[in-house]
Amino acid sequence: MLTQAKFDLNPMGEIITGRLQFSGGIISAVCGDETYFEAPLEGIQELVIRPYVGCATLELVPENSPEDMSESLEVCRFSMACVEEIGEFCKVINHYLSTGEETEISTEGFRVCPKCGRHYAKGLSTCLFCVEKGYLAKRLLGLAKPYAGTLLISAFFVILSSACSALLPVLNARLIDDYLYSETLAAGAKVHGVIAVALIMAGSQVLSRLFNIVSKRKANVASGDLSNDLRVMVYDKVQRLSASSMSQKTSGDLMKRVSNDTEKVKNFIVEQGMYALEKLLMFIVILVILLSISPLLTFIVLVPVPIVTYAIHKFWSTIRVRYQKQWRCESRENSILHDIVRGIRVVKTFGSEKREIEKFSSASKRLADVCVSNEHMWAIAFPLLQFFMGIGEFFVIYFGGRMVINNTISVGQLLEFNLFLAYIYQPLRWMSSLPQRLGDLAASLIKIFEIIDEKHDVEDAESPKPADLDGEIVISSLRFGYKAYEPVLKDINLRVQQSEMIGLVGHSGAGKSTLINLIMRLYDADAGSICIGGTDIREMKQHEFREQLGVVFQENFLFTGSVYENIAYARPDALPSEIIAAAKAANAHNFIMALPDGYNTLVGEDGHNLSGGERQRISIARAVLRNPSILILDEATSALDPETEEQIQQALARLVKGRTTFAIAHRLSTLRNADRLVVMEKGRIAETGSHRELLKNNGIYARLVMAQRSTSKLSKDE
Amino acid sequence: MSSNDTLRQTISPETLKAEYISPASCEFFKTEKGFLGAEINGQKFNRVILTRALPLTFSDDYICISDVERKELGIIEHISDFSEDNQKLMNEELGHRYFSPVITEILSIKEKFGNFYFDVMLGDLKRNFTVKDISKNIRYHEKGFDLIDVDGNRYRIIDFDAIPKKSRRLLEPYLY
Repeated sequence: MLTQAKFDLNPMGEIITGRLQFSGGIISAVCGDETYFEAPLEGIQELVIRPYVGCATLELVPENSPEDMSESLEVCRFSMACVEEIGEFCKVINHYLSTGEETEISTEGFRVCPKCGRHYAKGLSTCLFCVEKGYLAKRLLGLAKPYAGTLLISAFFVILSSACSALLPVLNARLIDDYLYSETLAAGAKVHGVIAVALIMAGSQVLSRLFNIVSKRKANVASGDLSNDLRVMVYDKVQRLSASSMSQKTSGDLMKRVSNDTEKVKNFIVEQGMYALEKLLMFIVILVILLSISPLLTFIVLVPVPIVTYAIHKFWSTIRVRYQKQWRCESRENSILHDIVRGIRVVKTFGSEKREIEKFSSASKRLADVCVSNEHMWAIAFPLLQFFMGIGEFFVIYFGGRMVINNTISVGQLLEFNLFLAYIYQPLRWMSSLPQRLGDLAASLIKIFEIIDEKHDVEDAESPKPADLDGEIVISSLRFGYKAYEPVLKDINLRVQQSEMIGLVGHSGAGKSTLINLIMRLYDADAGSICIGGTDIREMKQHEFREQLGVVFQENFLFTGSVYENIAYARPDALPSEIIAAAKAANAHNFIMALPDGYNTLVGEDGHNLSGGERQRISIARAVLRNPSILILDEATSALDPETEEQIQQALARLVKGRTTFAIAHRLSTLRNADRLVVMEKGRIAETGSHRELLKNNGIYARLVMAQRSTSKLSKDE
Repeated sequence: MSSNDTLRQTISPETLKAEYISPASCEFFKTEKGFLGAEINGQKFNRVILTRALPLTFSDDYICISDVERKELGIIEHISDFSEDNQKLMNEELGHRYFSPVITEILSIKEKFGNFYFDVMLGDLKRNFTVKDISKNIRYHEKGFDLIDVDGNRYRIIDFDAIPKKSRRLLEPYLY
């Protein structure tokens, strides 16, 4: 079997088109006739990718490699454009090295457009460069489909309303030609005619307004439903995003997508979508009327329209780029201002007010320059375009006037023509500004679709099994990296008995939190498995699985609401007696009772009305109430004063009893109750055993303990 | 001694100076496997990695030497203080670690839905790349800047004023 991937740099850093291949136990890197590297995999422990800046290298690590990796072999060098493909190549070869099984490279996660070959951004599933013009329109129509009925009724009434309004020019023409300038009618008949026309005009106007009201009411119903459904659809998807996807997006960005972008799409569908039909129909009908009055005048009026429309289109392209630049300058100025205001104490204590003022002034001046330049352009170009768009009107006065004098058309017909002109320019102006509206809409739509289309990294199995987390946990040959080419966990093997408490110990970046994330199935392993009671957690129903997990972090989030609601978050159907019992077990009851509103006390936004220790105890109460089978304590007692820590330790000791527990703590003394300690080092399990056993081994754990003892001694001395 | 006195001593200019590796105490060499090795103060390291502390502003100064596990062995203040042979080895290693091909001409920039599609010339080679949100993926240096594409590649414009006028006109609206 041939496994291959592309690489694109030669050893001199020149861009080439090379092929990395593995066949018959030999790995090679070739470009045309030239072979850069060739070696058998015999005696090789693993393939690793070393990411640098803008490039990376692939290395073979031999068995019994020294720690300084000086015996490794560099296979090839490549730009970051190849890193995903070579990452997959690595996975396949490493799998072969550890199991002897040959597998195929998965191209599923590659972000390369098969059509244009361009790479697209993470989180997208479509190449936006190649996206067809109708793609967004089609999807937009898909979104509007459930409301099509209501929107069509609304559009129908808008058309009726416009038709009533459009009667005015016709009636005006009749008024002038048939009554005011009539040479055959008697004065009395003329008066009656004028009254009749006035009444019809008033009636048509009343009808027009009524139809308009009906249309607006219908549109509002559709608008409310659409807005609500869109927001819920995006919010629902945001809630289901995987942990890796969430970590790539800011909360501000997600909030903007749920509220602003959905609002923009709704406004477009309701306002522009409804008017589109009306404007188009109006344009066609009025064009027919104008042609029936005078084909020559119609031609004169319409001649400049395509030229001006094209000019407007070009103008919008330019102005859009200019306004984007203005937006960036505003954003930069705001960011500087935000920084200065937030860090005002730092600015003052460093006496750097002058420097900060200069920095802000420079950004502000830049913004002012861009604004002035844009406004100048706008002030000149827009009136000019408007003028040229309507230039036909002046020709109509000249040619139309001559036609009236020559009796080719009547005065009434000229007036009718002029009044209809206003009606035909309206849809034309609307159509000319449509590209800009579409541009705004497209930006919002793409952001919404980015969320809606995003694939889940952690999917439920096709026929998931019920989750039962009671039983032994077996972690075998676990391998994982947040980036496919940078493994964070390597070959983790661990058996944890039911109700055992495991303390995870190691330096920062050793992989402790990553292991916890995998046990909680926030991510799926690249290789290996985690089984609980004999079932792989990937085969369990995620919802049921998480229901049986309890987690206490270092920083716990409390939702705006009461203490009661925050504890009950773990189990909304809990009885008050259960909430109080959970709070008692978490040593939270006493401080809650000391608050004037007791359990009804509002915790404030993000729990700011409570201290760190109090928030921590509420989160422990939550975990108690959940009664989980597996408990995760991630630095649960860090950053607390000794007295509070003692109270929380007592609460935790009650909580862990009878549950399988994984606890991470930098302060090793807090893991004194652990049945077993697992020491992690560079993504692998380096040592396991009890506190005494590990001290006796005089390894990494013993060094960590000694280091902490000397630190605490130093701080006591001070 | 109070802790303030200790702190003052730790950050005195003399102490800072002592952090740097002097050319006399450091010799680089190439290993059999092609990696850069170094002998620092008599201690031999068979594989070292060089990292620029200030890659955008002082690319030939303040170079950190570390082992593959990123454990710092020391800092070189100026590459130019070292012998020619050593300089050559260091530049070779830095050239190996940092890859930012130089844009000589911009043929087109198309913006579609917030993504910027560049068609550029890297000398004689035509290349296209995609930048998402240009303002967040641009790193300015003295006369030019680096553009970072969606994969993490860096494309460098050494001197903005030196690229063709049409290229400047295409790019200017997207700069601050």
